[in-house]
Amino acid sequence: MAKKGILECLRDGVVLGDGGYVLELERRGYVQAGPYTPEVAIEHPEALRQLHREFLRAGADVLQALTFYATKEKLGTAAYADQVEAINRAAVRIASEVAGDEALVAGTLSLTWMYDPKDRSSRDRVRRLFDEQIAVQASEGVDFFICETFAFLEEARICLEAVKAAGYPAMVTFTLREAKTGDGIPIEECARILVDAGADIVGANCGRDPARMLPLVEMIRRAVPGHVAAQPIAFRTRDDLPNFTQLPEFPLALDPLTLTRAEMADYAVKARDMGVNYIGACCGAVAHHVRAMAEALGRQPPASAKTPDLGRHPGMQKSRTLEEMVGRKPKSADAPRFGTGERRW
Amino acid sequence: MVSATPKGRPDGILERLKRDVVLGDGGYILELERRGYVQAGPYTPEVAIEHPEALRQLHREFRRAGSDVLQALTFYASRDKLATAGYGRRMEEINRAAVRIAREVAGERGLVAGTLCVTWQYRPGSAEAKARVRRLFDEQIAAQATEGVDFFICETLHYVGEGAVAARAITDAGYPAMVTLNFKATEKSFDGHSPEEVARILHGEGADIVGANCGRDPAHMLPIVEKMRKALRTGYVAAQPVAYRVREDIPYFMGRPEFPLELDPLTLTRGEMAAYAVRAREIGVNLIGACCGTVSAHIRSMAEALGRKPEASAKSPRLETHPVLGNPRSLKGRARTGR
Repeated sequence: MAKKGILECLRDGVVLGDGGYVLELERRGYVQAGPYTPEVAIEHPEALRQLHREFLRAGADVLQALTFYATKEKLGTAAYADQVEAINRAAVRIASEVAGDEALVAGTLSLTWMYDPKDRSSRDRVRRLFDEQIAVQASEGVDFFICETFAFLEEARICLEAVKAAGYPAMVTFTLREAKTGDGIPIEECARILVDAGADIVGANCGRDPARMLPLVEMIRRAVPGHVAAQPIAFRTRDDLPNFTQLPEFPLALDPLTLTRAEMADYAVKARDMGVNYIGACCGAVAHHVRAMAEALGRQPPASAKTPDLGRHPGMQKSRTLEEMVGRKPKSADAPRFGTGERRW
Repeated sequence: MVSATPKGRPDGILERLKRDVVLGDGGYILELERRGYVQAGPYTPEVAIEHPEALRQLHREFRRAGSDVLQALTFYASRDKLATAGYGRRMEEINRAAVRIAREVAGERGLVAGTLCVTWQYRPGSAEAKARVRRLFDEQIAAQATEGVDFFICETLHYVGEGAVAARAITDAGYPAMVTLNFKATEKSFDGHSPEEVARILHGEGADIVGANCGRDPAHMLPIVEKMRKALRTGYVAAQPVAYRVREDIPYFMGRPEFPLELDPLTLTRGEMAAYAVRAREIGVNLIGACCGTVSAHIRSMAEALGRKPEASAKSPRLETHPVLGNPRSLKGRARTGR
């Protein structure tokens, strides 16, 4: 393997994550709103493959295998319980095929909805679910695991222990309604506990937009010395309803809340400046957001070949004939400046 | 240079329109820009040769969502427009690849529309410009016909005069013709014609289907299309609005300050596009399609609102199974978290 591992990449600089898969594939007709399970990996692999390609091309350093909600019980709510292995395997294989040597592949584990703080026996059950997913995903070859969308510290810790027992680097992120976990632990303390338990990267994902996630991530940043991750959604949330699942628009009328590419570029810069090491995104974030983030961080991913050049838009250049546009250099001086809201046409 | 397929096709666009409403597809250019394959500015369709898999996938999504017609992505694929992005010499290749990809995805049952659009070379009153536009259309028609199209759509036009050239070029080649105008600030074509006049002129020039596309959202396009419908005794009417909200004072999306890189918050929901489809049918629109901003989730909702059950309905929302929104005990009675 010529590829550097995730920890080496993080030591060398910021790692750029990818965007959201589940809601985008719902928008494309392959994931069902409600269960939000990832059977697309076996039913329409070409659709998943294409979305991975878009993120890779936009500059993502990591492709997350679409194994979110791919535990037996959760898949069972959509009648795919007997396909746990097939779905986990296919999802990692597709991500690996697309990533090649260009990107790392993260196995993905997420909250199981089976953890019950009042029932100690639920811990063993949850651990078995994670072990089962890890074994399948590892056999297809992942570089590290992302354990995400957790509410309870305890469930996250069980997940982390399972990943560490399998010998992989682990990133653990929470979806937060407030500055503490579902089991009432302040997030700074939660981050310290997880780092002590072996987490290589800790942070937050999903639920909140950048403006409402970064303050929490900053608290985590101050609390731990290691690597910190942010994967906010690209839908606008509110101070009184910071988590998008609380919004009346969730999940079928979110479109008008979508953040622009400039807003996501701005987020990437802010995140880097506050010392976030893994800068990714979640639901609502697609290739044009990730490309804008990459470019804001000073990169030129393959998709930059198609970065806007509005100087060549005929409707915006009324005085210019097509002939005058021929041969113009891309990124001309009269193209609008990106991400500043400044418009020159 | 006419393919054998269209005229001989037993169940072409006109037969289907006679029978029922035909459901179009959504927008390609802006969605493929969002996915990183089309450049904002030129908005030319070289994706057809550079990343055919990306275009193929988007066609699949529309077909799966219930589109009866797939439009080949040959928008802005005239030789002169392609030249502004350095692809002028690949005109034939791009036009052929785009139709081939649409054809592959449409399969036996689906219709493929060859696409022509505004050339930006038309000048009212100039015979020279008219001849040039006709040559640009003719070479696109020839290239696309080679790969087999069922009919042609010439769209996003500003001048009825350019539409007349297109209608003639398409019918001269032996194909059914749909011609739609992009109405901007006013309900007049750039050459000063009302929707009623536009409809009568284009139908008189041989267009089987006339209408409006792009620019306006459903609320600001349907009144125009309704006037066209009332103006025609024979002939079909089409609407292909954008799925971005416009305003009374700026009724076309290119006029909005958010155009084109900050349109995301203006996106219409699937519920709004479904309501549009129903309203369009009520006022007698025959081809109900959509344009920029419209993706598979919108088309599926439009199809379902029209009483259909396309393949993608297998994944239509079922929110009662959502762990937060649905029954909190749905997951085998385990505790729900996070709220």
